[in-house]
Amino acid sequence: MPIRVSSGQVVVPGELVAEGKCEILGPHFSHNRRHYAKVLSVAVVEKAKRLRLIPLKKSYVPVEGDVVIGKVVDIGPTAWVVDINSPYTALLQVSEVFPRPTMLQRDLSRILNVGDLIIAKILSFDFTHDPLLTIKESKLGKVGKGLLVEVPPSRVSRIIGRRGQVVNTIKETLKVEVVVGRNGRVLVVGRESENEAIAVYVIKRLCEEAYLKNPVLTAKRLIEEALRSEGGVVAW
Amino acid sequence: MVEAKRVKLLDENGRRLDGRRLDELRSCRIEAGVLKNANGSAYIELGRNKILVAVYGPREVHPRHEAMPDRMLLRCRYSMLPFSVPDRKTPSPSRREVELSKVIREALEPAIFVEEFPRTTVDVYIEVIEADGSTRVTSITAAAVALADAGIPMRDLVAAVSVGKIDGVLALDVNGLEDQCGEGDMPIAMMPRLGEITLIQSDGLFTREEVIEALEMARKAIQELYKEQKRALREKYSKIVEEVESEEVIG
Repeated sequence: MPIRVSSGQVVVPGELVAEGKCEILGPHFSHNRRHYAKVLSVAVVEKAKRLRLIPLKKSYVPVEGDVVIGKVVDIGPTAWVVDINSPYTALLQVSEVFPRPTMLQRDLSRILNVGDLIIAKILSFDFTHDPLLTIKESKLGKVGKGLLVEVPPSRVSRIIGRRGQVVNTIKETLKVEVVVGRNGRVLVVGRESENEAIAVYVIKRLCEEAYLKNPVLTAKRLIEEALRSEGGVVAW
Repeated sequence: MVEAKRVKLLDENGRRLDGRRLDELRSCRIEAGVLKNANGSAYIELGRNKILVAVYGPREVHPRHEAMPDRMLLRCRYSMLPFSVPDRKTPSPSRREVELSKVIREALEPAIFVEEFPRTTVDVYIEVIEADGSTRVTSITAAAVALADAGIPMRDLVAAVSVGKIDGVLALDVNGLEDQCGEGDMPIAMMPRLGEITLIQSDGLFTREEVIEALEMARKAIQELYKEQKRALREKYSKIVEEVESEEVIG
């Protein structure tokens, strides 16, 4: 058996996880057909020759096309500086805010001020320059109301679920709008504040465990439990 | 200044003042993830040494011009708290602390995949709460745990120990008194799995044979410390793993 660790085992960086020919998912490095974990992770043996390493802590690295939720932290002469919960601070240029060209004389703080939250898309990023954002497309822009949840970026795919199943379950059951930023920030907007709160609670609970076998079922169970004790408005 | 008295560090049975044998490490306990605000952290107790390490990063470099275009920067600050030693140490950085900050950084860097996060920095803050000899190596051992805790990509952990010379013979892991009154001190840091040395310093006179013997003593002790590092990291996250297992039964 090439895999040297068992499911649920916490592996440290540099620890040998497998030897020989096998498929390793997650951060790892190999040398002479021996495979080692690169970051502190939980091992999950998916098949006899397939091992998944799930990092316990991972920061968000911007990817072009990702939808993220950012917070304006500074205003420059032609751009806003936006914190996207990443080692890299992003920039939103004035040209990426309006569909038509705008006059530079505008006081930038009247459009977006420090502390404002925005739903934006990563326009470009490579390691030679800071990530550039855009809010020109529809569904992007300044955030007005709702609740913001910060989750570890590594859990984002779990909150979305395969083909959006998990987030859709939350949206439909609790009648809330949920925008999941790839950078670990999730916005929940609903008519009923109790449902907003339940959605936030469910999202937070989903993030706690390092590995969930069935996120959709877990989400449904958590929502049910919360509704029973909270008594919020719901539609099945 | 009063001259240091000639203290007898070894008794007739070859036991040291604290009862240890020559090749015995002090009791060591490490705890990972102790600080909520840091990205990674670790606390270590080795004998009477008590050291806390906080890691922040990868994060943006300030000042911006210090960022390196193709790799991550590693910054390290070793600092002793005023009450960590018997005679109050002034809070401002001493020359020794500046040197140790550099030396510790150089001991940790080879283990880190610095190419992974260009134009960022990882900042390591080491605070010695109580000092009793061999603080630089103890700091390195804890810093590696804090870096791993922060999710920094590494090719191996780093563990370190000192080998001193007391009453003419080599002794592992010297404490404060042994360091002060002994004839030499050799801090050694290694990447345990790779078996590669990332720090070796020497203060005092050692023969060639003594250096070889010291390296072997250090290598064994470093394997012991590595076990404790792994245990600390695993224990921190084992609670989560337990929840995983119970989840699978229900889910």
